[in-house]
Amino acid sequence: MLTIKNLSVAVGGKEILKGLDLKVKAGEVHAIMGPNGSGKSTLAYTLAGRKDYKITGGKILLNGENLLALDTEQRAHKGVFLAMQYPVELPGVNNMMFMRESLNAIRRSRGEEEYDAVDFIKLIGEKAKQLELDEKLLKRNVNDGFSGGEKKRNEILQMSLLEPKLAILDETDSGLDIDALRIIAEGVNVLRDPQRAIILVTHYQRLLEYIQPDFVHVLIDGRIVRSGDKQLALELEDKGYSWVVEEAAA
Amino acid sequence: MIHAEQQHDWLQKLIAQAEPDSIKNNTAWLQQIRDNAQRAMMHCPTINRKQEAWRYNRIDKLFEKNFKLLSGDVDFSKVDIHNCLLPAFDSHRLVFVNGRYAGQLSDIKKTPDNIIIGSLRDVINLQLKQIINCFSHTEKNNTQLFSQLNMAFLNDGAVIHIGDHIELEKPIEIIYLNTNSLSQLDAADNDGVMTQTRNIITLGVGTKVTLVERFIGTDQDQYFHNNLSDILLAEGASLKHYRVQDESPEAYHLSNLSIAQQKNSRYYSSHMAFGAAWSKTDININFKDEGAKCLLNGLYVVGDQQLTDFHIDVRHSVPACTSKEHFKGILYGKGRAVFDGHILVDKQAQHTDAQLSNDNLMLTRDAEVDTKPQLEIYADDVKCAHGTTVGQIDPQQLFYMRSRGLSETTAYKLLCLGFAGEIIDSIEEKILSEHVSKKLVQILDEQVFQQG
Repeated sequence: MLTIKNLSVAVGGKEILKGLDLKVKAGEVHAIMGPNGSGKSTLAYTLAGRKDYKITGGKILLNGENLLALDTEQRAHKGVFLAMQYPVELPGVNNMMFMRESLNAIRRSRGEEEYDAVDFIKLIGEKAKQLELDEKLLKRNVNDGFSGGEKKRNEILQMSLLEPKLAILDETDSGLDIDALRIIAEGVNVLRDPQRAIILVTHYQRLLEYIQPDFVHVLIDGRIVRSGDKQLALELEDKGYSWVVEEAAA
Repeated sequence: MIHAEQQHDWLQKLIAQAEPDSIKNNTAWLQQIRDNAQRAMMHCPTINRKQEAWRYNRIDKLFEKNFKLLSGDVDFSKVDIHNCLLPAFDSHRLVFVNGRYAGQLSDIKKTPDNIIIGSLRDVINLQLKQIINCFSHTEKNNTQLFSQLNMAFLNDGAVIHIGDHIELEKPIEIIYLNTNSLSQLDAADNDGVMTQTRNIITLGVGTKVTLVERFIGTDQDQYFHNNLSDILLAEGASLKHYRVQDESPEAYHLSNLSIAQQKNSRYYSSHMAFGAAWSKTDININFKDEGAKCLLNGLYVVGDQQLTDFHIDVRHSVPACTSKEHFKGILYGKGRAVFDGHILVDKQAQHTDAQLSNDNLMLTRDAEVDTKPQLEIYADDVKCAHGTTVGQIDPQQLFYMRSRGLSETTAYKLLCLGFAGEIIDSIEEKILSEHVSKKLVQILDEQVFQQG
C-alpha cells in the first residue's frame, strides 16, 4: 500500500529525514519508535502533506500513486488520515458539523452519497458510544476546551468515522491514563482490517501492549536503522535506544 | 487633507438646493430649528485628519461628492419591498424609502394610546413636547457637523414611544431603503441622493422592546444616508436593538446614536456592518442613574473599496453601571476599518464594571485596521478591562481541517464563520441571526473566495 523510498525532508532549513525507506502492506500494523528529535513526527506530518515541510529527495507512493503530488485534502480523499499528537482547537467550529463536512467532503470526492443531518447524528452517536466519548463534546467546538484525553478520543472518533486506508497515529498514547489508553487502543483494534494499514508513531512500548504491531521500526537521526517484530519493542523498553545507535554506527 | 473651503462649499451647495418644505405641519419651531442648524453647520469646525475622530477616515471623499437633496413626493408604488423583507419575520414594520416614510409599504396596526410607532411627519403634532425637547437637546449638545446637517435638511424618521410597563411581543422593525431610481435624478449632474433620517425612541418604566433596524441599498447606487437616533430608556426599561447596515457597495452611510439610560435600564445591542463604500457609526452611551447596563456587540466585514468606522463612547458618570463591548472584524482585499472605543469612568462612578474588546481577523496582507481601545478612569473602586487583537487564520488550523478532507476554501470559510459566530449568535431574533449568517456566507462566497 505505502512505499517510501529514500525520503529526505527539511523543516525550517534543517534536514530531519535523511533517506528513509519504509514499506507498509494493507492489513499490517507498523510501529515507528525512536528517541526525541529522530524525525517520527516529521514523517507523520509529511505523509499527511504539511506544506511547510520541504521534500528534498525521495518519493512516497500510495497504492502506486505519487502521494507527494497531492494536496493535503486530496490525500485525505485517497484515504490518508493523521491522528495528531496535538489536535488543533477550532474556536467557533462545531464538532459535529465539522465531522459531517469532513465525511461528506471525502464521500463527495469518491462520488458517494452524502450523509444528511439525521443519518449522520445516528452514525456519530454510535461511534462516540464505542469510544466512551461524552456526546456533549460533539455539540461543542472542535477540541475547544477539551482535556488532553478528550482530544485524543476525538481524533480516534474521526478516524473511525472516516475509515481511512492508511491511518497514522502520532503519539496518540502521550498524556493518556491507562483507562483512556485502553479505550483508544480498542478503538484502533476495531479498525484493524485486511484493507487498512496502520502506522503507530510512539515513544513507548506501552501502547504496543494494547495494539500489537506486526512490525517495529527504529527511527534514529532521520533514518530507519533497525526493523523487527514486537520483540524489538520489548528490547528497546529494556535497554533503551543507545545500543541500536551503536550498532547502527558500527 | 480637507480645506475649509471644500467643506464650506459642499454645505453651501446643499443649502442652495434645499426646498423649504419637506415635512407637512411645518411649524415655526421646526423652521427655527432648521434655520439654526443650517447656520450652525456653517460654523462647525473644519473636519480634518489631525482630529482624533477622523485620523483614519478619508472624509474628503465624501466632500467631493455632489449629492442631491430630495424634494417633492416619492412614488412608492414602484418599490418592490418584498425583496427586502425577511421571510416569515413578523414585526411592526416601518419602511422609509429615500428617507421618506412609506405607509403603504409598512405594517403598523392600530395601537393603544400609550404605544406610538410611526413616522415623524405623522406624529409631529401628537408628541410635540417630547420631539421639541429632543431636537433642542441635539441643537445644544450634539454639535457635530453631521448632526446639525441632519436637522438642517431633515426628511423624516421614526418616532417610537412605548409607555410604562409594556412588554411588546413583536419586534419593531425599521427598514431604510435607498434607491436613486425613484427620484428622476439626472445622473450626469449629481452623485446620488442624500437623505436625513431622525429617530426618537423612548421606552417607559419597566418596558421591554426589541428593535431591528436594517439599512438596504439597491443595486450599485451611490447615495448618502445620514441617520441620527436618540434613545431614552426609563427606569427598568429594556431594549434589544439589532442594526444591520447592508447599504449598496457604493453608498455613504453615517449613523449617530445617543442612548440615555435611567436606573436599572438595559440596552442590549448588536451592530452589523456589511455594506457601503464608506460608513461610520457613532454610538454614545450615557448612564443617567445607577444599576444600568449596556451590551454592545458588533461585527464588521470589510473588503476592497470599503471603509467601515465605529466610534463608541461609553460614559460612566454614575455609580454601579455595567458596560460590555465586543466588536469583531473580518477584513479582506484592501478593506479598511477603524474601531475607536472609549470608556470614561468619572470620579463618582464607583463600582463600575466596564469591558471592551475588539478582535480583527485579517484575511489579506493589504487589509488595514486601526483599532484604539481607550479607558479613562477617575474612580478607584472599579472593574475595567480592555483588549484588542489583530490576527490571521492559523496555518495549523487550516492544515488540520484540510487533513480531514476539507478544501482550503471550505476550511477558511468555516473558520471565518466560527470567528463571527459568537457575535451573530448573540442576536436573539432567530430569523434575523440566520439572515445575518447567510449574508456573511454570501460575502465569503462571492467576494472573498470567489475563485473557489
